[in-house]
Amino acid sequence: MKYLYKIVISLIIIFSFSSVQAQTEEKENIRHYEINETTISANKPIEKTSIGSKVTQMDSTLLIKNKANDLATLLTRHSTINIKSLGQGALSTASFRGTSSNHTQVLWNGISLNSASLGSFDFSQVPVYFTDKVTLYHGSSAQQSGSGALGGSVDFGSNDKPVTKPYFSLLSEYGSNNTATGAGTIRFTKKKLTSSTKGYYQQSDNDYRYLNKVFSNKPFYENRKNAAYKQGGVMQELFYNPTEKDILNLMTWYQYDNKELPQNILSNTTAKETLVSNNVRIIGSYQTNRGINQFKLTMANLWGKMNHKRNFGSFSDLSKNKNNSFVTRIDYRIDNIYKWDLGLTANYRNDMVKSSSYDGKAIHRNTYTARGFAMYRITPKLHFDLDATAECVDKKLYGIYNISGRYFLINQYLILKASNAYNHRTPTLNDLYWAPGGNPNLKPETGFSWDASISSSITTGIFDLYFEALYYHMNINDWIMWIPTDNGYIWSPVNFSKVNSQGSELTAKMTVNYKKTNHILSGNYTFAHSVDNSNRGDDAQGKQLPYIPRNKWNIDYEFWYNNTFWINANCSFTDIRFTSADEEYYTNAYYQLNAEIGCMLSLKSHQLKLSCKLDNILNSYYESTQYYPMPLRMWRLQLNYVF
Amino acid sequence: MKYKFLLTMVTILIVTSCTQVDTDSSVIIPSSTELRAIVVSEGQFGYGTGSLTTVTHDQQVTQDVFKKINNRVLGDIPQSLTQIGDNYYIPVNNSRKIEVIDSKSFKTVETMVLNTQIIPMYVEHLGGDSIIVSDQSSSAIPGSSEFSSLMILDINHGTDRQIIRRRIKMNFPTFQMKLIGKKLFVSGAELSVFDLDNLNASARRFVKNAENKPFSICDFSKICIDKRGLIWALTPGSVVCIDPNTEKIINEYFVDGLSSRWGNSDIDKDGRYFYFNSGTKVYSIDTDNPSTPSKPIINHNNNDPEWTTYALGVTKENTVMIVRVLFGSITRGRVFEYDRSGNIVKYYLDSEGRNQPYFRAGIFPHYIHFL
Repeated sequence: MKYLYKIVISLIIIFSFSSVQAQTEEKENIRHYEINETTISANKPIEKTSIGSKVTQMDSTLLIKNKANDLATLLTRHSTINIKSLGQGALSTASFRGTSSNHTQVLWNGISLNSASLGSFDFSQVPVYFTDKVTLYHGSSAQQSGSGALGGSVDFGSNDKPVTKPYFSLLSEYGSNNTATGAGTIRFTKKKLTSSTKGYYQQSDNDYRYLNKVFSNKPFYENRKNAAYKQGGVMQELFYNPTEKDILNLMTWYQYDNKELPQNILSNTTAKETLVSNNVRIIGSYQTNRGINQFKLTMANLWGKMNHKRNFGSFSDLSKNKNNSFVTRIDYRIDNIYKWDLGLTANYRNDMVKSSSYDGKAIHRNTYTARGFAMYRITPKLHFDLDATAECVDKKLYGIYNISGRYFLINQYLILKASNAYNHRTPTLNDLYWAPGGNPNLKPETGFSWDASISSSITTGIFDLYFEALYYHMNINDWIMWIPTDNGYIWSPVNFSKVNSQGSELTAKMTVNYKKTNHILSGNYTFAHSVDNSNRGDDAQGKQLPYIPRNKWNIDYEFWYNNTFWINANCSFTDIRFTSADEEYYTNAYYQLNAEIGCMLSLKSHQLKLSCKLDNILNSYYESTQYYPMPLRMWRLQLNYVF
Repeated sequence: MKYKFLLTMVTILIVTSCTQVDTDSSVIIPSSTELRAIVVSEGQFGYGTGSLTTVTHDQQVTQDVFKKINNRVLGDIPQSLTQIGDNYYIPVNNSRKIEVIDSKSFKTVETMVLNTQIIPMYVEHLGGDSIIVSDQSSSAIPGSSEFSSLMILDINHGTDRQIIRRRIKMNFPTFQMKLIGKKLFVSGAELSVFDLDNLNASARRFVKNAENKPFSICDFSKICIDKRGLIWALTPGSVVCIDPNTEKIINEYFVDGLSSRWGNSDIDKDGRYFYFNSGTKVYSIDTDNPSTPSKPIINHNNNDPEWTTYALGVTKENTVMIVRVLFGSITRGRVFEYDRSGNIVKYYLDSEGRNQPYFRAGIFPHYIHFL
């Protein structure tokens, strides 16, 4: 009865939502539906570059299945990148190839969302519901996202080609720990204008029970304390198509997060820490396609406010932060001019951060970027590209580049790729201006990276197979780290670490469509050997960096019958992660096994999808971050109506 | 066929998903006659890597003794270790608890969970079944009943009792304590004095300097007693010698470069030589013939300021153990042992069989207890 009540509440929440955003959502489940929709045909998207580097497009069906999850959960289960999380709904950061979360750029429709003050981004603040596509740019390929992405970048947002078919969807989910989710989408087109509006809300008591075996001499059960959260948002997209060759696009996203921040289970504190953030992000763009010429003008405004209240014993404070960023970007590209594709980009960005940590002062950062791109098809099978960027940050000039190539060994069946890049990351505003301790003399971190891969894609009748194996090598110099200064009371950032990271990534996907059944088996494996080469005379020399697992894999199996009934199982493994730099302390490896069963009922244009999800089936105790327990077995029931 | 494959996969996952247990039941704790020192390491804040390291007279070093014996970690920021009877008392700062372990077996006797916001730092035995615990927290929380305080605890272990007997409101952080006769001296932002038979905030006095003002003692400076019964302690700018009877400073020695609140100090077992550090430099004052030291007796790694002195202790053999850590490096700290001439006196074999002028303790070793 209680659960029924919650479901009703969730549904009410959904219906009360209406707002803004545009999403190019394929009518639910693009693989299993006949989609009779009209796409705006005027413009091709500005294509990405780095043809010899690894780029992973997350399968759209994964996005649909994970609609009620955050982006951190999706990436943990279905990608090779490493997510460090403090728990469900709590701070979650991502890192590629043995680098840190500061080396991962996060972009919404191509605009960087990384905090100018922190450098990193919290993936728990992005509902998958608000994404139509998620693209991972690994290693050198992230250079096209600008500087800072020494490890890689994650670009999420809307589909390049907006869908104009009217669409209405409601989603409601309720599950363990009083976790309720409601979401809705409405899309319509009137003449040349398409509007898409989405709303999302999730709240959870997040008070899961676990056995605390570490705090005292007597193990005891306890519920997770101070971990509740609420998050919601609305997204509005408007597409205006004055001619077949032009498109105007306006995207607005408001996101609200109110989270209690749980402490580790060794810290016996009754005090509370809360984080409340509000973000408004607006992107407007105009794109035109004239023959082989493409032009795009993008303007964006990112506004955010965050209040971090800490109440630790005798220490209580409220940290207030505001940020406001303006971005103007112009892209021009010309394709197929003889054997060349050429591109130019000019970008200006102004970041303003006002923080009580900077003595209440507003700090501005101006970044000017000029980028050139050229791809040359030497032969139909052999292509090269060069991507070079000059960047001026606070009147200091830097250069980065990426050169890559690919060779079609056996047409599309077997492709060889290789790339080399040089990138840098400027110190964050916290690094420079934090009071006390900021260090205005910091140098940027710099990194060289190389990678080479072989991939194969085979389709024969009922059988599809994709496979890719990749090796990478990366050196990062002047790694920035905060250390206590002489008197011990003030921490300050310095440049000193040299990090060498090398490893391999394997990706495979097999699809079998036989009569009324579909089988999809996919998996990722990554090996990361990321070591400290600073040679400071301590015991960290040559040792694996903290919280970088050497081995990580995930495997996913999905079975469909008659496009109406499905079963999905997903298993992920994360190896031990050292918590000290000398490999003397570590947190345990863990597996996580999740499953979902569902069915879909269709009546004319109405569809109703019902699914039941079970996370952490083995009910195993595990920690993404040491002494921050993750939820044990959890169930969720989801109802999704589409018209 | 595929069902068998799936079944096999699931079985493998279930079997291999058992939680890894990091215990070492084979660890043998040396007897108290073999043990020479126990090093308490804080670990990294929030990471729960606090630990105990034991070292014997024949230079055998055992790491993470508490974890190996008790199959769990010691906690978040263990701060000190005090022997009372057959037990060791270890306040664990960020875990707000005091671990009580048997001094022979190192097995847990009791975890004294305080369930308050105080931050336990050091323990002093008041006699009988009472101990007093200092508190690093700095002031009252607005709108709450919590306040920085000294706590008197009941140590009748194993009984159903109220662990905190009472609290003495202080309003500033307190650190090391010393019971001298019937007086309790408590270091902190002010050097407080209580009479043992009147342990109340209202009866608190302060030792005052030449300007008749209270002064602070370095957070980790021990309150040392020389052979004449005088107190020696380190302030952020000087070394002070105090008469515990008059509760007044007798002499104050100003040392160049002494400015940090992070100074450590100790005195030898004969109560003659008082040692203290300023950054990487270790100084000594002969309490029989005291004067301001003109130069350090030890200046280890003078050219490498990234390595800092994190703790200091004087052994029963009147040598000085110095803990050095590399800031920004979350690795085991190194413990060196010097004589008064500044020479290394002990060498230890490392895990690769090489002779090293130090042994490794835990991460951020911060307190050395000598047996």
